[in-house]
Amino acid sequence: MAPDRGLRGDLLKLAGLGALLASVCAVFFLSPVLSGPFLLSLVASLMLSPLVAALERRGYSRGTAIAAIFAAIAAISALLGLWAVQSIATEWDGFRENAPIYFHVVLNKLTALEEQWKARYPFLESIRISDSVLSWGQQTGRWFLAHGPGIMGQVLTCLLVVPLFTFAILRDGRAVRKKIYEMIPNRFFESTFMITWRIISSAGDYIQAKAFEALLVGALTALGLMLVGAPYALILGIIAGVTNIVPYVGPVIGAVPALLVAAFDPAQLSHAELLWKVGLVFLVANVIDMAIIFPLVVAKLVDLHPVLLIIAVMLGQEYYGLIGMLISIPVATGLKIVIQELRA
Amino acid sequence: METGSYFVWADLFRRQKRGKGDSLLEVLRENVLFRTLSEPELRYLSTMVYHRVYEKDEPVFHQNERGFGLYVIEQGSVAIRTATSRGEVLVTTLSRGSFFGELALLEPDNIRSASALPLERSVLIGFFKPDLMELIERKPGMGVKILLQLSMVLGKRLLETTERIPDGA
Repeated sequence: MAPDRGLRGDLLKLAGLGALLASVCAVFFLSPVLSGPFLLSLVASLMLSPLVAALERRGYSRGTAIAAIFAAIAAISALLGLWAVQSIATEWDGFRENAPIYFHVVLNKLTALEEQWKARYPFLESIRISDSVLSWGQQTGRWFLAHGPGIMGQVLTCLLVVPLFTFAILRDGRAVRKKIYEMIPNRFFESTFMITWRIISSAGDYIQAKAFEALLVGALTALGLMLVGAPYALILGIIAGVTNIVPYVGPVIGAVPALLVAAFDPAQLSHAELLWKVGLVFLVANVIDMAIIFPLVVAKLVDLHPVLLIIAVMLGQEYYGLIGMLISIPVATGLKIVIQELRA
Repeated sequence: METGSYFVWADLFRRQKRGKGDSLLEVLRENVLFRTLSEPELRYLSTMVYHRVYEKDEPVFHQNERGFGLYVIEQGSVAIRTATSRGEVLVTTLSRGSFFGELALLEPDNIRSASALPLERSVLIGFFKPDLMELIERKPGMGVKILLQLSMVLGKRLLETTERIPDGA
């Protein structure tokens, strides 16, 4: 058999390219100033990509299609967004003012319950639940006071940087990818091209589907909460949509704040009535999600064992929070594709 | 004399060298698969294909490997060989403008039926399945034109193969 000329050189070249890409990714993912906006832009560009394709199908150039979509988003944000931002800001102000009241209502009920239990079971005397809750509440309040301006600063930075990054990814993403592919040695070109294409398309499909699902669940929940007259419907809807990204436990986590608000809102005459109505809204939203949205848009895209799925989500949350939870499953699916291809 | 500009943006936004782009467009325009495309469509296609340079005897692909796309020869020549029970057989020699590996664009899990080996230093233009799928999604008109030409080529080859089979075989 003829000696395989240049294999060592090609392997070195591939390893060098891998190291270069890994360093660029490390700069983006390990510096919090860049990782958050960059990951958000990645998700945003994946969500806008079908719209760009739809306009391209109608004969517009890619540049014109992207510019038109950004102009439309700006116009919609200016009109609808202003109303939504104002409503959310009003709800947020109300929530911030009422949060201490909620806290005290919960604390008083907890103290009464604790005393009742201690009178019945004296061995519980040493346990001080209400004291722990009080100190946790004080710490959380202090954290919000200290970090509030910083969080607002990050949100403002994102508002400026994310559209720029998204525009760049949509417009030049393919050209950059092409340049990278051109650096791959001939012998590895087709297989690397196919593996990365499978990873990118499966990650894109998954993130698009999950974001779409979160949007629908959030909108359904907010609408339902508005209809039953629950307070903070928009904020609680957003929370429900965002937490829906987490598989299995997300919908439960999303319902907790709404149920707490329903149970302890000082303005309500009948907590029990609002509580079951809010519970019903979440039940209906999740049944629609599980019966229609999830099977139609997401289920076909995830082919991972449930235990692996949960581990991936936990690791994602550990390192990159909510965005980490969203990208953890595509990353795990990507690793699975690489393993499949290597074994093929 | 060309003045050397070292300003970083100057290089980033500089247009592709005329010679290289022109040659690529010319090869695509002359190729039977892309012959029916308009000039703007050809320019769009040229942003999707990949230039690959192969040295003499550096395999483009081996027989029985999985394949994902076709190659058009822009420069040089390529031998198509296949291994049979009687040893390796030279099927054909292709030169500038010819293409090979087109079945990979259509078959879901394409296995290459022959090996491709450059007979000299060759420049090939690679066009791969994911890009064809993207083209069909974004520019369906262009996708249909390419697929029609591809069907025509495959039909012609099928006819030629059938004609070679002796009667009663």
